[in-house]
Amino acid sequence: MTPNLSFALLLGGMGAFATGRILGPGKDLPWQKTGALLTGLAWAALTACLILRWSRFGHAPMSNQYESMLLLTWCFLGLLLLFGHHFPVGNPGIWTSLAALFLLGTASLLDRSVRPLMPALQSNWLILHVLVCMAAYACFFLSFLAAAACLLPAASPAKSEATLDAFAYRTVSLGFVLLTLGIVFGAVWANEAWGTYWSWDPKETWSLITWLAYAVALHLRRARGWRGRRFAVANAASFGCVAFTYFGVNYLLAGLHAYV
Amino acid sequence: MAQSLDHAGAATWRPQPLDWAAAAWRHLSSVTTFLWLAGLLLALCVAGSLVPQGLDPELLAGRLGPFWSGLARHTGVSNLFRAPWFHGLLAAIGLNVAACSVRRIRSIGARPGVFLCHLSVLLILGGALARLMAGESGILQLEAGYGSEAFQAGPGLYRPLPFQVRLDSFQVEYWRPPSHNIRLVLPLFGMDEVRTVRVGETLRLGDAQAALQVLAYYPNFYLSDKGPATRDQNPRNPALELAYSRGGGAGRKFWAFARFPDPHQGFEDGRVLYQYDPGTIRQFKSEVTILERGREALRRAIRVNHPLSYKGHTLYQYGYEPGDSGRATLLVKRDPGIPAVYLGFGLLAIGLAWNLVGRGGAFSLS
Repeated sequence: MTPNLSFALLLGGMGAFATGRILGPGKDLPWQKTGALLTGLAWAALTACLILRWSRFGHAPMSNQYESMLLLTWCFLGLLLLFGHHFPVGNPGIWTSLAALFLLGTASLLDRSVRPLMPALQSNWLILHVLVCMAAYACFFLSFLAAAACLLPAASPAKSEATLDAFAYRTVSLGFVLLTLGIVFGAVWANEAWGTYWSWDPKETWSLITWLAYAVALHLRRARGWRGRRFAVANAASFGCVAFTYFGVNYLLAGLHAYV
Repeated sequence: MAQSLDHAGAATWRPQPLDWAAAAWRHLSSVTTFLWLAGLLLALCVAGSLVPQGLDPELLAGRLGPFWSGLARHTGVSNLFRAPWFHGLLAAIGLNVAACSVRRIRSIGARPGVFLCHLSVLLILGGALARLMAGESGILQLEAGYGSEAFQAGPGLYRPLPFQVRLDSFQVEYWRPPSHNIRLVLPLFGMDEVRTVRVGETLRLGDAQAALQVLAYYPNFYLSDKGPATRDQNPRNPALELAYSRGGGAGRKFWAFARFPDPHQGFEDGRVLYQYDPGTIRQFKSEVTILERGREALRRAIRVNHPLSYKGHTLYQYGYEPGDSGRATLLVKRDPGIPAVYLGFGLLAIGLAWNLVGRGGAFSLS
């Protein structure tokens, strides 16, 4: 089962959000609700896709870039359903739907073939490590969208900048905890498989770089009072590290950890 | 600072040792110092990830060119993660984290999660230091039926084990085993198909008018003084010796090489392309016995993700000799810092979660 159904539902959802936006306040509520419903159905369809793939091929769908991108999209949509109504800029559905469509669209360009698991991947740590890391990346992606909205003048009227900032901070904080857990699970797994919890391979190094970037951003906020646009810049720069860790390392830097 | 009078009678301040110490303490325990150190560590990690690590100078020059490789070597970036000054930077971060925590100890009641996080970072760095100072690592190359009481920690360097390890057997398990695939192109019989063959098998072709025999397989083919031979069982240069016959006549022998497919290689009726499929490995399994003073203490199978720990040493499945099921390589590790590191991991998770939902946290429950 491919995620095409999920893609179609997201497209429909984006269309509903856009229609609501065009109609303006007062007439957009039914369209926003329709968009939210379609987003929820898209998440359910993707859930079914992942479950079917798991049962058909006998292992968790987390062993290559394609599967991890589906999982990332699933986590992102799940977060939207949980926290999306707190997104302070009116009708963010267009942008969040577009972001989810971007993830699914990128996944569709990747190799979908399923190969049997190699010995190093035959562990329950695969599920814990990859799931938590993808959840962290989804949090950071959502936070990045909030930061981008904060930095774009047209998207963030002054009164909403504070609430956008608060939303970005909350999602970054959650993402940071999840990223830390993901790195810890990965380290424990590496020790079981390769005899060392840290070997400075490119993936591990860039995970640490991402962790440090967000640690610095959070310290700048808590200890130096960085809020609003300043925190948004730190947030966006840290998200650049996430993007390189997830994509750049796999395709540009070789290592034991590169599963494409 | 102490006040004194200069030659003109004006008051001057001369810094006293305690003032220097106080200033040093303020810098060491400041968040600004952490931000600078973290930024430096971040930048060095970026550099270290982009420059190949630990390569010989010639190999590095071949990859980066003479200028960049020279720069990488002179700045130490080409072997960054093992450099003592890099470890010193990590130690400095540890000191900074400790100092920050001590200086703000009075607020521990208000922000316990923060202190827990800082403590965990110190435990993790301390565990890593213990590994650096007192850890052991090496390999054990074993042949089935034989054991060893020492492992190789470096070229010519052997360290004793407090027990003996004997390899009873080694197996490679496959999802799909290795196979020999032949593409037969025989216009005379209208054939263009791929067949999986075994050594000793005879393929009947064209309604049994012709036959192709698979005579022998050479995993690592070379021409010796005595004729075709194989260097070892590792399939580095797979070759099949084949014989084709038609109408019951004498077979014509020829060779097919997997690494050097020749579309013109063949015989009067067609040609053959040979593809060696190494298969897909599912798991490596070393059955070992641990012996102490000649007595069997433990028997276990070591697989990837299933190491064996005994008396502070852990044995991992590390390598094997393709084509030779009688040999295996195990990785031996002893890391006294693991308990501290794992405790640090646990406390870090608790501390961050506490920060998240505790007072003043992003998802504060209060």
